[in-house]
Amino acid sequence: MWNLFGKGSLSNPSWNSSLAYLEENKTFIEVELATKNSGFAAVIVRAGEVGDAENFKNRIIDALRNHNEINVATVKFKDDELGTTWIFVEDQDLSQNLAGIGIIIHVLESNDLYDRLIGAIFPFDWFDSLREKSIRLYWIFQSRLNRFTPFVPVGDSEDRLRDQPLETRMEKAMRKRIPTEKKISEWYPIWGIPQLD
Amino acid sequence: MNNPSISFGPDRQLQARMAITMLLLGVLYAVFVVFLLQLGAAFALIFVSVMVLIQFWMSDRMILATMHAKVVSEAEEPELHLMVTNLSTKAGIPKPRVAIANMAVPNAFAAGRSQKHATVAVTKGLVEMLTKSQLEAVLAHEISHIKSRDVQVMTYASFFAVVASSLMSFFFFMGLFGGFGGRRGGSGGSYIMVAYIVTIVVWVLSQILVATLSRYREFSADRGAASLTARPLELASALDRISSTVSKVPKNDLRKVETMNAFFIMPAIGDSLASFFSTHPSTMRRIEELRKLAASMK
Repeated sequence: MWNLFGKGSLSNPSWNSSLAYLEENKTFIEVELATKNSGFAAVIVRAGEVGDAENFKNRIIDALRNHNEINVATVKFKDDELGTTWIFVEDQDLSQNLAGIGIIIHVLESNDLYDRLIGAIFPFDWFDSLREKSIRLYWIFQSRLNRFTPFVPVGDSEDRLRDQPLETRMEKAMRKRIPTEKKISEWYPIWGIPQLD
Repeated sequence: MNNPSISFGPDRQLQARMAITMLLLGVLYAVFVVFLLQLGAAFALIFVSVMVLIQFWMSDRMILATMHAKVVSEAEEPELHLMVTNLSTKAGIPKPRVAIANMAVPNAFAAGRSQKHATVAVTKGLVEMLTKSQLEAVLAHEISHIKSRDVQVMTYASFFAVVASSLMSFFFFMGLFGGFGGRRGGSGGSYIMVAYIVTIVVWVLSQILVATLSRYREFSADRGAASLTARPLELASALDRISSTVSKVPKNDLRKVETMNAFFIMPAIGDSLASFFSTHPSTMRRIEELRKLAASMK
C-alpha cells in the first residue's frame, strides 16, 4: 500500500520505509516491550495561509475518499494554539493506524503538501512497575529526518518536563529495529499533544 | 529522612575495573619516571611535585574560593547540617564542614585532603531545585566520595598527568628557544623533540585513564549513596532533575522549530569522543545502575 517500493535501509530511510519498520516490529513493541498502542495516531501539518485551514481540510478529506483502505469517518482534525493541524486516525490496531497515517502522508505528497508535514505521533501506554503507574510514551516521526525520536512528557504540559532516562531506554531498545535518531539534540518535544475526545 | 542504611555489597566488576585502571596508570607512570630520570629531568620532577603537594594541601580552600562557596554554621543551615551529620554517622566518618556556593547552577562537590579536613558543598540552585530526600541522596553521594578518600586517590592518580602537562609546556618553550641542546653530543634538538612527544603521549594516556578511574569512582559513590540512604531511586531522580536543566535535549517545541525552519548545527566533537575524556559517566548510565540497585532491593 504506502510501502510500494519496499523497505529502505535503517541508515537511509524514506518516510514510508520508516513506517514499514514500525509495522514490522509491532509484535516486539507490544509483546517484548509491553507497550500498548494507545488507540490513535496523528499526522502533524504546519499551518498554511490565513483562511486556508478549511480548504486544506477539504482537500485532504476529498483525497482520502479516493482510498478504499481508509474509513474517512475515523479521521478527525484538530487545530492547536500554534495553528498546527492534527489529523487523527483512530484504531486499537497499530497496523491500521500506521496504514491510515501512511495514506495521509501519501495524500499530502501527491497534493504538493508534503512540505507542510512536520511529522506524526504514535502514542503507546506502558506500565512502570517501579513507579506503579501507567505512562504515555510517544514515538515522534520527524519528516525532516525521516526518523523516529522518543518523547515522554511528565506531569502537566505547563511543567514542560520529560522523562529523559526512559526516552533513552526507548531509543536503545528500538535503534536496531526502526530508524531512530541517535542525536538527542534532535529529540524535540511536542508539548500539549491534543488528545481525542 | 533518617532511613536505616543498607549494604549492597561490593561491586566486584567495578572494583576489578578500578584496579586494572590504577595498574595501567602505575605502569605508565613508572615508565615516565624512568624516562624523566634518563633525560636528567629530576629537578623538574621535584619542582612539579612540590607544587602539586602545596595544591593538594590547600585544595579545599582553593576549590571553595573558586566556587564562591562559604562554610555555613549549624545555626545558618540547620537542615543541611542535620542531613550531613546523619549521613556521616552512618558512613562512619568525621562530620565534614558544610558549605554553600552562591550559584544558580545545580551542583555539589566534596573537597579536602583527608576525611578530617573534608568539606561538602552544595550550590543554592541545587538546594532550591531538589526535594529534601533528593538533596539527602546527593549529599550521601558526596559523603561516599569522602569515605572512599576519592579526593586523595584522584590527586595521586592525576599527579603524573599534572607533571606531564607542566613538562609539555617546559619542553615546548625549550625547543622554541633552542635551549637544552648540546649537552648530549649535539643532538639536543632531537632530544627535546622526543621528550616533547613522550610527554604528550603520557599526558593523553593519563588523561584517559584518570577520567576512566574517575567515572568508576562516580559509580562507586552512587552505590555508596544508595547504601547510605537505602533509596537509590532518590539519587536517580535527583540526577535526572539536575541533568534536565543542563542537558542537550532541546527545549523548543518541534512545531515551532519546523515552522521557523530552524536547522541546527551539531557540535563538532562527537559524544563518543567527548565521553572518552569525561570524568563523570553519563547521567543515563548512572540512573540505569541506580534503577538496577532499586530493583535488587525488591
